[in-house]
Amino acid sequence: MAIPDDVAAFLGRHTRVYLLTRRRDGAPTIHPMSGFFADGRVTMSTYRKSTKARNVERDARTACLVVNGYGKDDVRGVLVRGRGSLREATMPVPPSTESEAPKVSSSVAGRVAERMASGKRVFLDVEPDEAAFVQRLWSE
Amino acid sequence: MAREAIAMTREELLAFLGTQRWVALGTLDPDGTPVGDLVPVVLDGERLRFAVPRGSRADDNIRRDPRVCCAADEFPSYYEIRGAVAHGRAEPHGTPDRLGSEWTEYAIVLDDVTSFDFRKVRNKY
Repeated sequence: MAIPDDVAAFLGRHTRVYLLTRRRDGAPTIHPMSGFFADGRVTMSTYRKSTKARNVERDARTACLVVNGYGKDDVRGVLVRGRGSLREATMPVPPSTESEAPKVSSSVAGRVAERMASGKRVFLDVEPDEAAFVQRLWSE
Repeated sequence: MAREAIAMTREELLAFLGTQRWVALGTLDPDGTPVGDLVPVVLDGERLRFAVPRGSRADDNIRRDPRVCCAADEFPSYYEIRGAVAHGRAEPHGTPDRLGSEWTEYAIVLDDVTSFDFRKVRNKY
């Protein structure tokens, strides 16, 4: 789908993601994550055996709420609604130099890369069928 | 690492949620896809109250299927990440005085909550 320029620009700048999946009983659940936007989709890294990965394998109906900043009160967000899937990849998480996410040590990043290479970790992609700003109508 | 090892105690959970002003709210669209919104929230004893604009997508979704999820988290630094994800059935709670008649409020009981506090992580790399 074509993503509006202002929505794509927001997704390209922000890495704080609430991944929405469905539990085994069908109820919605949320997984706070870090993710990135590339190739028209939102991508996160997770363990293949994690609850979120199992939820997406069982039911591909998935969404991401991508929000600005960490700990900011003037929160804004974009909802990316679509289909989730798992993807094996040997590359580590993307360059973090411009990310606003809390920094991890190089040893943590190294362990993630190792586990991606071994297949213990996979990418979880959300391919959008809808991407738009969510309304935030209240003031503090 | 077992998840239980870094979960908040009940006391810590209520103290944490008591400081939150908004949450990510998960509801189900008519086709069953989960969707998220940003909504204002207040802790009310053992319940979490949140408000949505009357007639909004989230409001319509809740009226059709009251199963919801609320997530709140904080990120001062990696090893200070804290958060909680609460699941429940949204019960109508009227019009919130603090927001006005354009809004409608719901509440969930905090009896199905997952929490994490990275300050409890023992093996730091």
